[in-house]
Amino acid sequence: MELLEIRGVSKRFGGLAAVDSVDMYVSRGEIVGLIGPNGAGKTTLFNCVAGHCGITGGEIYFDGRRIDGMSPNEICAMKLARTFQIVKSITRMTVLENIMVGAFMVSKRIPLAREWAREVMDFCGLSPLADAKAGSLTIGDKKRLEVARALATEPELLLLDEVMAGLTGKESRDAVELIYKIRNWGVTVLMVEHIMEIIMPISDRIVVLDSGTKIAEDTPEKIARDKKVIDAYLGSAA
Amino acid sequence: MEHIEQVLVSGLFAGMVYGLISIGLSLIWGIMDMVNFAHSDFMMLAMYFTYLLFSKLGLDPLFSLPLVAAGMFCLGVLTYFLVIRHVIGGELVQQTLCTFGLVVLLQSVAQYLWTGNYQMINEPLVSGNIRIFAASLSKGQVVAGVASLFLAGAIWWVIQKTRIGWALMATAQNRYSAPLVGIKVDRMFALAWGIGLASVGAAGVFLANYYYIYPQVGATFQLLALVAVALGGFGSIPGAIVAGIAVGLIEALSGYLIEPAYKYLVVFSLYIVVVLVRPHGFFGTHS
Amino acid sequence: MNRTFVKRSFWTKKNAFPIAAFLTLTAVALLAPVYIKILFPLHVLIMIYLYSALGTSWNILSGYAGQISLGQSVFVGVGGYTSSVLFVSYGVNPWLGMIAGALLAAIFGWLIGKPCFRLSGRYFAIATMAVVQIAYIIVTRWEFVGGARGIYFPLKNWGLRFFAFRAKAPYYYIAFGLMLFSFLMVLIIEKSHIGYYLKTIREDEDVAKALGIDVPKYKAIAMAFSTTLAAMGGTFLAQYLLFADPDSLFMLSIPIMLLTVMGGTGSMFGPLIGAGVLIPVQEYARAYWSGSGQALDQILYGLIIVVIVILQPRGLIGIFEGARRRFFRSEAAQTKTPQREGI
Repeated sequence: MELLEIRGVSKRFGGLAAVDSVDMYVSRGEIVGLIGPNGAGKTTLFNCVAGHCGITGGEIYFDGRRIDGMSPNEICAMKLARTFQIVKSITRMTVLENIMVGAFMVSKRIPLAREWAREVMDFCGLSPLADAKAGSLTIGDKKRLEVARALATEPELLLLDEVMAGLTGKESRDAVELIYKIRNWGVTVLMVEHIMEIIMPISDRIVVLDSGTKIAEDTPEKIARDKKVIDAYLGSAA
Repeated sequence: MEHIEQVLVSGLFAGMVYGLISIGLSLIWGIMDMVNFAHSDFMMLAMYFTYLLFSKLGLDPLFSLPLVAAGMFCLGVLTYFLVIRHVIGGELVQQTLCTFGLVVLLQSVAQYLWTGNYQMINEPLVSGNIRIFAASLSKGQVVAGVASLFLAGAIWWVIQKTRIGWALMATAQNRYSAPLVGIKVDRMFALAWGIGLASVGAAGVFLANYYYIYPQVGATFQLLALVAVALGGFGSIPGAIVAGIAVGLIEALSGYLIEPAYKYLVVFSLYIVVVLVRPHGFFGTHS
Repeated sequence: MNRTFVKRSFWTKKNAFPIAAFLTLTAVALLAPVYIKILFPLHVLIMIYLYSALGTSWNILSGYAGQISLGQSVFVGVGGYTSSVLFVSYGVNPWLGMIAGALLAAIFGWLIGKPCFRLSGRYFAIATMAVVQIAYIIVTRWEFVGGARGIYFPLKNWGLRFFAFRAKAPYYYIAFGLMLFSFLMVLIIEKSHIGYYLKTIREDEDVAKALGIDVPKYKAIAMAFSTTLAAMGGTFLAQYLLFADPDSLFMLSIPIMLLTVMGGTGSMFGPLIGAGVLIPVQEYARAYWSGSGQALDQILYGLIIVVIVILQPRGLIGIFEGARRRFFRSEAAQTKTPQREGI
């Protein structure tokens, strides 16, 4: 069984299907990209996987256990962590304290959690900002903090929701670097990204959603030449 | 023992006034995302103004209505610029603290200026009783109810049909993008406070016709209005009126069926139940 | 991923100043009744300590966990009434009554919290306001607990055993103890993961859940701390007044909230600072102007609140923190500490 298996998952809001019987999987050690035009249902699918909204059909398995219907905190305890598209830093806490909140999943003892949080902070290159209030960070650093905080829960699978959006060229190159590092650390990554140029080179495999359904799934090279995918993107741009 | 018609009719007319009180609260809540806990204490102020105009100048409440409403409008704008403006970006606790500070201030100023004694307007133009179906009601109460409905309709019309109302609603939907279309958010907020206090001021004038006037008179109305706004959905004027009437009826009925002492108990318990089932009220659209 | 754990001493240089300050102030506070022989200042100090503890009880639930309660007085009332009824009707020792009251208040808190914690922000606040009104109506009609008259103590048993004294000084020490106990609670919260979790819940519940926090559980923990403390304050107040009635126990929600927000929410000493400023103003102004039967004391009280909220939105503690930051920054600039310790 794969690390994450999504089987025929649907999510309807009223009569509208935001996600329509999607099947996909993520294997251990992969970086999987989930792309699609605006409104394709990527973030909704993320929310379903992470337990923030219930699904109206299908099943989700993580590490061999069925997780749909579980609450986000139970899912997080099973070592599946996520970031939010709109960064949600705890503005009145420092960077280190923010990461510690995640680190308490590893240990409830403050000194241990702090040591672990420092390690994650180093890993994500946030150490110089340890004592800065999270509210005062640049958008790039906030996104980095968002990743660090999720990483501090020691996940096996990390869901990244548009961590590149709104970043400058340099910042997004740093972010790409960080994602490689995370994978090499032994964490599997499933990432949503709107910008194809960024996600293509770093993904092992790409899943494309359009209007809630999966229209393609392949290696980045093949996806880039897939007619349906190109149509979907051009269609949405036109 | 009162009969049921009496209970229903008086509940209905009381409810209309609750509706008018709730409108201003609902408007401020909807447009600025802020709860004015001092709302009905401003109404208390309007009741005293009405009383003073009557006792010092012999002006009947019927005629002092425009004066008091205009005065309350100015007071609303003034309060906004002097006080509210400074906490609008703050957290819920600061906004709450601020309006509760106003509660303390308004009540104590009234206590200081006019003592804690109960006042009443003796023999206004509208006095005596009237029969509606099998129920006998004071004329003041009937006028208050009908005029409240009328005023509520007028405010609703302004909000729905005029440019200013449109600008207010745009501000309510998104205060950050409203400036992009040339809306001055600050002025809209001030206007919301002006309209809010003018409407509750009008309610105060009507109430002064038949109700006792004392510094703490706002307290009960405040909770009833909050309940009505929460039930009706914040920002919704028809919601406020319907919920206000519902609150009036429930209050009267539970007083009749159980015991007058427990009528608010029923209203407040119902609030908790309803809000648990429908957190955004029956007319609310926000999620 | 090996985790090292460096044990840090409590007696560091950084801690020296707060510890010294704390010990000095405690010593001064403990000696105060020896020198203050006039009753009124002692009464004011007792009220400051009591309201500081009550403010802390509000602060844990509303300041730390962000669940703004406008009905904290329900738990004060439950505490005060439980011990009073048990004592007057059943002869149960008030100290035991205090524990019983705290337990009962915690159960009440759980019952109220279970449904109401699902409500967001102002809906929760208004619900708590409704709860306090409901409780008030019930208590004033309930003859078993004395109705609107309340319960009056028989004034027969005095002394520490009965938690009733003719002098003010014993109350003073008990109130001071209650305040220290409230600080201990905050310390437990601040120095453990609970504090971090509560602050996260306050800022954003979605984030809290995503980081593995069992939100209902931690809200319930905050509620338990908060209600216990409020109920203990209620018992103290009843023992101090030697009676329990609806107006003096169930109508404190707003003052408790006001002074805490004035002092500063989500901080240990906020409630004490708020109480330290507002209570003397209120008590002295009331005493000074009382003869004229006017409300100047309340006008002053209201004015202070409105002015503070405009000038110091974070509360009075903002002034202290600003001063401390300036002080430590100038020090840090001299010694050039490369990396400071996170909290």
